[in-house]
Amino acid sequence: MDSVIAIAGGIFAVLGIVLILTGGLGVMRLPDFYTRMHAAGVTETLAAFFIVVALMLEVGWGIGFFKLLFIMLFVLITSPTASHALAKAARHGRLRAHGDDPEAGSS
Amino acid sequence: MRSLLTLITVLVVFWVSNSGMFKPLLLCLGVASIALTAWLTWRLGILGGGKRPISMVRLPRYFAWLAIQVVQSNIDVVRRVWTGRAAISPTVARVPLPALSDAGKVIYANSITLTPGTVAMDVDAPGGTLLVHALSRDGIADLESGEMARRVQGLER
Repeated sequence: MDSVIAIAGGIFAVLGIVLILTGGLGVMRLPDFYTRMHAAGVTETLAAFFIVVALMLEVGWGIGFFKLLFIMLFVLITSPTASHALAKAARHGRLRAHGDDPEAGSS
Repeated sequence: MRSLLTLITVLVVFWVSNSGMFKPLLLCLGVASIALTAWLTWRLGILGGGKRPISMVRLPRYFAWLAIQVVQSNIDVVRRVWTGRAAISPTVARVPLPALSDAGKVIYANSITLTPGTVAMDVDAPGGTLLVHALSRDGIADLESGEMARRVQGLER
């Protein structure tokens, strides 16, 4: 049973790492600020979820489990708020978006 | 006053359940940070007046639906990142903002930003619209289909 949990934890950790790498690749590869933010979105949602689940399987039932649950909850609430603040600031600073932008600079 | 007491109670339970230690120093730190948080919340004037516009009963169902959307859009963005520039069509668009309470707007805009591929840039844009940046035109089309907006509206009493 213990080894099953350890293997499942390992699988989740690897999935999380792959997604974090993808997020990092996207941040470097995509053309502008706004599109790069979407790549970072992968790191802060599903990648964070996989890493936290892997850690939960590692620490087992107890106070650590609930702390991880809280961390997940707070990441899911604060990261979109931070992304929105960044996007709004960039828009406010009239940073042009690459691609289809019918009202560039008007807001 | 009642909502301030509720807030303090929740914070005390949260602190104790997270620290699990009862040394005098840590308890003093707990009292200090809870007092600071309560004072800041009171000063900001954001304590609820007792009326909650969002149904707590229907929230889990929405979160379950949102979790599926987040997973799907993660897969979509991962695919586009690995494919490269040919797979993306960055778009800025205004999508309609349905009639919602402030809490509903927060949930709607945060849900849009939480799903990778779309970010809400301005909420109370002129004309009651939501300014959204999407990694691809499909992301805007999904929002314009209005399913998420309908589900958030369904949360309100």
